[in-house]
Amino acid sequence: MTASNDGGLGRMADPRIDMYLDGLLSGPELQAFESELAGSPELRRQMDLQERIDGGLRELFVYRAPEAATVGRIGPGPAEAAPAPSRGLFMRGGRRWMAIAAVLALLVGSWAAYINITTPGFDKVITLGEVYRDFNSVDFVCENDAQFAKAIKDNFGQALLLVAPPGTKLLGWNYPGKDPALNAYTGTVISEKTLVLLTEVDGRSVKVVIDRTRAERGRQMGVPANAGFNKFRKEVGDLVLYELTSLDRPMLLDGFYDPDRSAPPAAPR
Amino acid sequence: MFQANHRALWCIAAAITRDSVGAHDVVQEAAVIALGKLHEFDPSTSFTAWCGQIVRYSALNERRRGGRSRAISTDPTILAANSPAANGPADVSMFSGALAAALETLEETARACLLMRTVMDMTYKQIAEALGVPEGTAMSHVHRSRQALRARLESAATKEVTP
Repeated sequence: MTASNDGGLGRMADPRIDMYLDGLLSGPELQAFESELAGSPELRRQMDLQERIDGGLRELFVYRAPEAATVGRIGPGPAEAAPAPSRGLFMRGGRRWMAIAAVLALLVGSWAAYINITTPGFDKVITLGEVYRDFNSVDFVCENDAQFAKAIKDNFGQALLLVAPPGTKLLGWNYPGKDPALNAYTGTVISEKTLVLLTEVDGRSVKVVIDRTRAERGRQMGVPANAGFNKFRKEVGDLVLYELTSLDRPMLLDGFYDPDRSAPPAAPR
Repeated sequence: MFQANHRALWCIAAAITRDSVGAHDVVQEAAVIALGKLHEFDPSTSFTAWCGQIVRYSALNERRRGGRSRAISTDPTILAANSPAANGPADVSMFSGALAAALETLEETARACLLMRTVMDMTYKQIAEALGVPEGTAMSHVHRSRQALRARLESAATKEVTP
């Protein structure tokens, strides 16, 4: 989410290299690219660098196929036929396999139960109350309207702009679902990619939670009556917006619009 | 079926753990969890994507626990000492260190897509199925990741050739 279209990648962002590597260039495009590749040291250098990166990745991440027994046969389909029992020294074939299966089932069951108890929950559900109270860090700041629109479009496929009332200070974006230490999504508000716009209106904290409307389906977005803040909801195109505020009316929701579909609304207030 | 998807699942784990061996352990752990939760699987949905989520959560839990002692370091000095390329030319280790550090800047899904495409030679269709994302999104992740890595590693590559 940066100002430039290539995300600040500059000349390394020539998309033809990636299309070429994926075999997506054909006909005149392919000929033109290969001709340029032969005559352009810069393009050749980029290709060499990419090949070196690919080689480096294969060196860093070495995959070894598992033995069948170590992964086990897990799947929703019909169970594979059990191996034919051989005559054991101390037990007859069928009985020996039953004993092994029983021990394995016991071990696997115990291990699964142990893991269920000792590992934290998978996706952490973050309530709107928690968003309002706890998520105040500015993870990203937009420098201008273009960045603002792009930040939302990159996340949700639809741009959004805001005509804010006087006295509004846009502080930045918070990604509540993202763990910066892991650089991975580990929590869910509406979805894991929910964005929160942090603002101050007349010096009071107002947050706008944004996500896709379809991600909201089936989710409970309620707020207790004694939560200490108010929640207002609005849909703009394919996006749903929640304004969380201590004020008794929404100050920002009516100022949001999709610049690709509509003209800016009149300044609120 | 879990085994048939092992390559993709390993990539999902490796994208989070950044560690080949640790990723195998995570997939093993996820296999056990999947076995215990098999009754929760909805047969009308993708089994691969379901397993992928379990692997993903297991890998995230592994990272939260601090990872295994053999986790890849992004410190170029440690990498230089530990990498398979340690016996080769110094610039190879430096480049590997810079590459590992650059990988850290990519998002988890992008890293998984890149590993599936580059290390496993999976098609975009296969990647999309494994991650439960549209094919175009998988391709976009790979292309943008490559471009980001080239941009970040350009200076590392340039330093190597500068006396």
